[in-house]
Amino acid sequence: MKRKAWIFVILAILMFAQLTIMNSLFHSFDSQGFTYNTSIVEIGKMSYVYGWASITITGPTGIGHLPNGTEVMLNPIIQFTNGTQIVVNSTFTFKMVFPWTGSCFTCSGATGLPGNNGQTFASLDPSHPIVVAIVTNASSFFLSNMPTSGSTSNDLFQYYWFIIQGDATVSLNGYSVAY
Amino acid sequence: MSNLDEVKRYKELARSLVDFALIIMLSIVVVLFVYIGIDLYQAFGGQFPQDLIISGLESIISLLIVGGGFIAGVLWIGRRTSRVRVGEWKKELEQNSTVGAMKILAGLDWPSVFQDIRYSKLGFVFYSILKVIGYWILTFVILELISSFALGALHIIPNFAYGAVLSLIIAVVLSRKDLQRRYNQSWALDSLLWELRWFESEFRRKAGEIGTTPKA
Repeated sequence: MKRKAWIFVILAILMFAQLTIMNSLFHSFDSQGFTYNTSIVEIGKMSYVYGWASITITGPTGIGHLPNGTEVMLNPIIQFTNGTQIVVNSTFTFKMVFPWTGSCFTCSGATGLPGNNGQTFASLDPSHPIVVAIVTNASSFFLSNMPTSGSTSNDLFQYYWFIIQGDATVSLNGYSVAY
Repeated sequence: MSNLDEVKRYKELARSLVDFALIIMLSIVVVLFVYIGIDLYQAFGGQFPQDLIISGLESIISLLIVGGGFIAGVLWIGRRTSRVRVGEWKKELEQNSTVGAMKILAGLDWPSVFQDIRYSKLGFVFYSILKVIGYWILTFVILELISSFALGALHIIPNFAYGAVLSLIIAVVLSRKDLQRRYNQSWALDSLLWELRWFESEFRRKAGEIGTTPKA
């Protein structure tokens, strides 16, 4: 009976450890939004997180006309910070991988993803180690103050972002593990 | 004596409940390991096919593993209770019914018998509760699996609280005959205990009169 009592204790500890691991180590995220004019899709993460995101951008196609008769392309354009541009024909899906860059055993900092007019979106902290946000109609001032994509701040926070020009529906979903 | 044989089985049933609980806990640990495996697979870039609903996959896995654990637990209890040696008193009675009966009754450890009856009654009640909980969990998982597909087609979001209450009601209704039987048997054990107490005191008194001292 004593042996069974110990087995019971061990199984209970194992269950609580598993539940803690599942709640603390693994984080999924899911976000959708609409863009117009110049918009930014940004992803922030803690340095000790490895993650990936699948991004789907859907938008109109063809040629439209402005009120003055000028022709404009309706297709949204994805512009990455390295200069790469992709014209979206109906739907475009790609995957971004966010590498683990360092461990952090005693860190407890928090920040938020920057938004227009000094707003802060989506708190980035140990409870939410990876967050995403879509900033629509971003101003040129905001764009000029964005940190370099892939850069690290305070040795802890990392930002990734890209621009979408035009009207589009953006859908992000991904998974991450913190270790 | 037949009733005391039943009490022996119930006592073994009570002892087996610990094993039953350990088997259920082990199956839950296995399910959680599978969930962690799925999380690891997804976290490091693995993606399941678009038409495979992850929540449905996890429900099926939970159902198979926990259901298997529940069945294994019930079979284990059945095996342990069927291996209890009963009816040994029949040989004594076949040889000489009167002397055999006196020998058996004088050799009984009465306080131990009364304790066994109380212990077996406790195990009896807990086994009923555990059985209903087991049926409840299984019914809940099956109900959630069916509703996630059926209601999803109708664009209705299932409410887990409703599912939990409904599955409890279904489990109690399905177990009602078993619960009724166990309730009746629980009362029967109480009656047996009082009757045996009376019998033991009468037996001691009579045995003292004829000079046979029963076991204390």
